[in-house]
Amino acid sequence: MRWQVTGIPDGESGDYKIHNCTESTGEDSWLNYVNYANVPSGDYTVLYRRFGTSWLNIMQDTNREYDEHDWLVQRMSGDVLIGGLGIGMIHIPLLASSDVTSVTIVEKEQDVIDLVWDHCAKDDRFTLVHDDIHTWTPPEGSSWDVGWFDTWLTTDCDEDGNIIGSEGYKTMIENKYGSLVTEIGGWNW
Amino acid sequence: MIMPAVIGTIAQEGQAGGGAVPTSVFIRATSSSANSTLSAEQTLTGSGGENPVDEITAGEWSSREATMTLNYGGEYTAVLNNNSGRLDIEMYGYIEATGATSYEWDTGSFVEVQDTYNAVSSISAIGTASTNQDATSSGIGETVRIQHNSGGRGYLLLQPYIETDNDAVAWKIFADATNASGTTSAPSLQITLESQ
Repeated sequence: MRWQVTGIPDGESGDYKIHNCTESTGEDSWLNYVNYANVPSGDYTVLYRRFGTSWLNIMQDTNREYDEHDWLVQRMSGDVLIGGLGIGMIHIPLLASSDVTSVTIVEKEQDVIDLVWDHCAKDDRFTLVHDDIHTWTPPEGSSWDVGWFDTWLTTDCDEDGNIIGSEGYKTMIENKYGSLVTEIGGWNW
Repeated sequence: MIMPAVIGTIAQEGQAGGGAVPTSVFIRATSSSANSTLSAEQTLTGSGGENPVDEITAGEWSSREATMTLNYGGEYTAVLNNNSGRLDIEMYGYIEATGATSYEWDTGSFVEVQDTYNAVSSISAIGTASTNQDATSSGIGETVRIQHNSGGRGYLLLQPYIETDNDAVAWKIFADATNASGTTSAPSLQITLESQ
């Protein structure tokens, strides 16, 4: 099972790019992921981030991602806060849910917004905020029923260069949004 | 106690009649080294020149084993991101032998000692094994490549301090010395790359 993203064209902006590919085409990191995640044959949309001379896949519409978003799928109702635009994959089930009142998406990278936002699934319940989920100040009186945070990368470090890991990310998010969001979840929590 | 010279003798292979196979076959860091050692380094870097792996030198061996420290931190991810998830370890050494006319290096016995999050997809040798007795400058030919898995939000990492043990991978280095009468293998050395 997967949510297949369609309509986002291939493109590159700054350190990010979108590639519509298959299980056997694309950058080394994607092909490595295909092997690791047992990705079946098919057409996929992959978001890459550039590091030095290499491209790292950081979001893809695979079966594995479907499974990794299960926590959110079980809670799609009311006002939803999403950390990270990615390829807008999770918009597909959010859009299909009549229980969802609003979706607020916070995305830090203008390049990702430029590549994805105009082309991804959404309706007038969806609002995009261009800001860093770690430093964003929500409007006075904001609250959400559900928060899903998916901006962490394995590369994320603190100011001393120490890798924070998904546990460190989870703690930071819970500390910042715990009083504003009724239920908080995230990728790989 | 087993003496090194005895180990060298029992490792003889392919002995033909008439002559003596090479004796006193050992891997050394240099031609003047006294102990079974070699040197090793991780050769890939991040886009800013980062290298998270400490070199191994001749003085860091004990009982033919050495631990190579992989420093868990931003330099680790920088190297992986800039090199499609790879760490490459090159080794340098010298095959000491008496009565040998040809030599060959090899690596093998690759093992994931502990890999908490399935970070490593493969550990293998790339390149062609050197046949130089003196590989102190050129390297032993085979490079040990540690390929990491891309997990969807970046490369997965060998972890430090998981309960009591650090994640680690290990491999062995072999060397043969040959003459017309046969081949003698040196006692192998083992390197353990450990996340700390």
